[in-house]
Amino acid sequence: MASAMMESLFQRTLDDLVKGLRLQMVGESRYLAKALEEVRKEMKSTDPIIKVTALQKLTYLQMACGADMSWASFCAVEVMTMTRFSHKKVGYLAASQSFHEGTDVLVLTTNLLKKDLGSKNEYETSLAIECLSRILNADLAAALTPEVFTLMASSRSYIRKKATLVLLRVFVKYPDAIRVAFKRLVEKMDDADPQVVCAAVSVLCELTLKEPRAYLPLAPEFYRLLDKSSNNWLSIKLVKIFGALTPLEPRLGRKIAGPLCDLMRKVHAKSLLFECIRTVTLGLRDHTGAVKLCVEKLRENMDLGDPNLKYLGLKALAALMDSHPWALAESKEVIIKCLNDGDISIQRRALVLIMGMVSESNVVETVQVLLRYAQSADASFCNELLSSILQTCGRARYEIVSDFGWYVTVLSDIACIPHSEHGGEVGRQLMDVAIRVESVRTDVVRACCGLLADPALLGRPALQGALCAAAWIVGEHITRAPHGPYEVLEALLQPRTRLLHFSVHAVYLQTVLKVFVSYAISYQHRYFAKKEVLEQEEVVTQRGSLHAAVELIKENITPLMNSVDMEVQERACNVLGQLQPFEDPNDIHRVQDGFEMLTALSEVFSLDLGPVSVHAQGRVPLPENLLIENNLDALGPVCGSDDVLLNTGEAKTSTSYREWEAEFNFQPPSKENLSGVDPSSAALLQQHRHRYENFYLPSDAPVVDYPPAQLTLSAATTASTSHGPTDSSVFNENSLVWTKPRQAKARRPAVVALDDEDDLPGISTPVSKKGLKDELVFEAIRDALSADRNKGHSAADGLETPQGTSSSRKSGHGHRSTKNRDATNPRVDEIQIHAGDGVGQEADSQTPNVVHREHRRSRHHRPSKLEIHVINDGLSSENESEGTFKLSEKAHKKKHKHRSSHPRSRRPGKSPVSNSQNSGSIPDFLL
Amino acid sequence: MILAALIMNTQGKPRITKFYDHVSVERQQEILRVVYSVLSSRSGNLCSFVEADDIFGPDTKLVYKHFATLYFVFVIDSAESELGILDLIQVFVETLDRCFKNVCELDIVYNFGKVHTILDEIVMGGQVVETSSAEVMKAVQDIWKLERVGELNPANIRGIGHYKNSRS
Repeated sequence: MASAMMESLFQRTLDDLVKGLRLQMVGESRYLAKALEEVRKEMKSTDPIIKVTALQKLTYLQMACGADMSWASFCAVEVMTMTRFSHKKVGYLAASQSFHEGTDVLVLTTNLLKKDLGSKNEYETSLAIECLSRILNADLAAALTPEVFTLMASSRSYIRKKATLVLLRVFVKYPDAIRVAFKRLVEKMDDADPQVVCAAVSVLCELTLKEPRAYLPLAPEFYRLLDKSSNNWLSIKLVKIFGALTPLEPRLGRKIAGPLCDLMRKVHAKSLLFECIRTVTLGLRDHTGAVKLCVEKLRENMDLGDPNLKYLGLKALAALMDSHPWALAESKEVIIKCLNDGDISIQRRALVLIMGMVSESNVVETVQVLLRYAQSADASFCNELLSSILQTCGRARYEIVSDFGWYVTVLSDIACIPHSEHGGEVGRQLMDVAIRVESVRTDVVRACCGLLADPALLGRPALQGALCAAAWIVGEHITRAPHGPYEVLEALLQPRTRLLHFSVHAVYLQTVLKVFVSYAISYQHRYFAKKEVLEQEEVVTQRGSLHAAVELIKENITPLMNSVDMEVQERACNVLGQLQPFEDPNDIHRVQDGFEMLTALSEVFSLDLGPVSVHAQGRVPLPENLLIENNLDALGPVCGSDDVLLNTGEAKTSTSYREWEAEFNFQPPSKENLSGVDPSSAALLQQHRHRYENFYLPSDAPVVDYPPAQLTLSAATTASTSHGPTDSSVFNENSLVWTKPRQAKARRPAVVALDDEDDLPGISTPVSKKGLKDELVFEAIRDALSADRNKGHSAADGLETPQGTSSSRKSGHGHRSTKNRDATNPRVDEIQIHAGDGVGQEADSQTPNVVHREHRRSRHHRPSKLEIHVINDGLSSENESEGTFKLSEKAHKKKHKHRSSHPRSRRPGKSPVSNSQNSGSIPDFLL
Repeated sequence: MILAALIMNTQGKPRITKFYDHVSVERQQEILRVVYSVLSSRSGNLCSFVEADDIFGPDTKLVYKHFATLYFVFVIDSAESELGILDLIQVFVETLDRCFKNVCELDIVYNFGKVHTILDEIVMGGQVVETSSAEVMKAVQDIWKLERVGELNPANIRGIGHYKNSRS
């Protein structure tokens, strides 16, 4: 006893602990470890007060320092069972902060919770409910549903509202409870206490948002509540529910449009106003009046300067973007202003909207505005701006770009903007445009020369993709260079090129070679074409500029012969090798040899490349008499040596491959002749694959993918060339990305990339899978709402049967349900007259009588609309349920002015399944 | 629904955390860190909503308010109205202010249990229970009274002497 006294005397309270934690000098983790040890000891104490304090401290430590408290769950249960309220409360807090569905001691709490839920003290009950809302699992829910059910009818509204709220968790964890308690939940919408009503609506709102269709039958109830609600919070929830329901039932939209517009006009609370706007943007897009009012209100509010309203306004406009482009166009100025906002989320939203507004007619000015903003924006937003420009303009093969000359300058501007990190994409698009749009090539080349010449760009690693593409394009179309090849050579050989990545540098070197070839050939044409005999002096004196070019190249490329990168080194050697004949301008014969060689090369280089579909190979028809095995067997002895790779692999360069291609009259595939995939290389690849099967990854395309039967060369030719091209093509597969276009003509990266992009399944967004629980909840709700359904309805319920399970439970209340159906319609009329000006023409054009007549007509000609059936059945089931729905039933009956059409709609053979179910029912007056 | 209610100070120290679905302790700490880094990078005068898709999953938002040295953060999904929750934070803070008379960070630090009581009266299981500050006050006062009945709860006592006296 004495020791217990001492213990409790010297125990640190929570306050002490907190104070200690704030003042500790030993470091938080050490202090925490000490405190935890203390708590562990204290928990073993028999004194309840020590235990309570220890638990309280542990709860605090879990929150403040992330201490684990799962080990103390039993202690928490012990404290929960204490009789004193203050102790109990500590226990419950600890439980609700640390327990979860899987906590093993939960089984011990069932009786305790049962007892506390039934406590006379409402605050004890409330503690238990609160804790329940946090720790509920299926077992607890099953055991405690009766208690919760009873509490919902408690005389104290404090308990009623909490019990109602916890029902949501009960339903989610234990869908069977829905059959018992759902009616009572619906009943709570008529509770005398507004907070209970609010709670019931919150729960229904959560449920509705998960699976709106099941709750359509309750729409009249929600409508009634909204009509008389004076509580903003309640109205927000109701409006939210309608936001989920109206897309399913156009009728409801027409009905709700008027009241919503009224609400928007008169309401002061922005929260409710914005909720109304949200609902209009979700479900009432067809109601021009409502949308106009929304846009007006949005503009008003966004001009107020409150960032919250701006953000929400932009969000609402984004929802209208697709259906009502004019709404955006009207607010364009506000949106563009938002680009300058200090808040990144507002800027982003504005950017999305602006990109959504871009069309062929305004793309030029929009992009100019965005580029201007990009220059002043901070790095991350600047890049978002740029990437959205690139994405939008590049979409669907530059669909919205009509002036490619302009677009090319935009691309080069994007590369030059200081923060730009989109070199890769700029490069891709430059190349793509250059290849696809022939008329604009001169502009592309001019822009690329500009990029290459700017030494500042070389220092930015993010831009190397663009430079790489620029170099390749200039190399391909050097004749179009605005200031001639010599300038290009200078740009390509400037000292800062050593900052380039090896793979890009290799492309630069290849370009140097191409440019030099073109330069030399044009030189030759200019000076020697007409002269049969060369005179030495002339050569010496006039060849100055060629000589200068040779010197320039030699000077800058010689160091690269020692480059650590194999590809760079090899290409440097290549280039220098081609220069050798020109080293001594006096040696006329060598120079002439050199020219001859360059002429041959220039012919190879002059082959024009067109875009090739990534599927081109697939279109190659499979020839008849295709005997793969036989074919390859015959090749066996021809390429029997095992050291193919060793002999030829690295010595083969891209240049030699080119020559080889030229030698065999390789025809690059043109647009018209997509099937002309290089047959020999494919066959050789096939053959190589056959021989070195072990070295191929199993995931490679199956052997039959190659068209070996396209092998048109004779066996001898194949044999003589098999080694080189085979290896070089394999080699090139793994080497430089950007040089592949030339070497493996069947698949050029630029084109391939574009085709891949087209193939991306961007449209098919993943279907959100509903959890099993949600399904169960949905089914149970449906059952609860349609418990006594008319069997005769089943034919008309085609829509529901896939989701529902209750078709067997339907029983005949067709008569009553039809009445209920019309219970909603008179209100449609009233509202339309009342708020006709706000709702728009369609509402204006109707008088109640017209609507009435139309209803009648529809009854004769149309099968029922499924959604309406849901409503009917729901209402009928409510009405059937003993006593509980008397009030609402009366309310409905009062409004039954019209007879309804339903019995006819159930004619056999006219199943509504064949009607447009998902689009909701067609308004009556259209039928 | 409301996924979590957090109070943390401008140094990132959590003061009250309440997660309405189970979140492991490690994850809780991680969330607090991420939320703090997001909030602390935002200057004043920005909008009070931050999309939190990468913290809490799709369609979630942080709704926060900055008072003196504290951030009040509610994490919500699409079933709540952003502006409504902002008002709710206001109600919460007003209630704290009434209960503690000019509430400051220290009040919240030293009244862990009480603040939880207040929060529980406003939000339960992720649903809003009560939006009127007066009603919340009433319930909270009753609960505190009840806590003080009979033997005193050590948590409510400042100074151990008082506690000892009341026991003996």
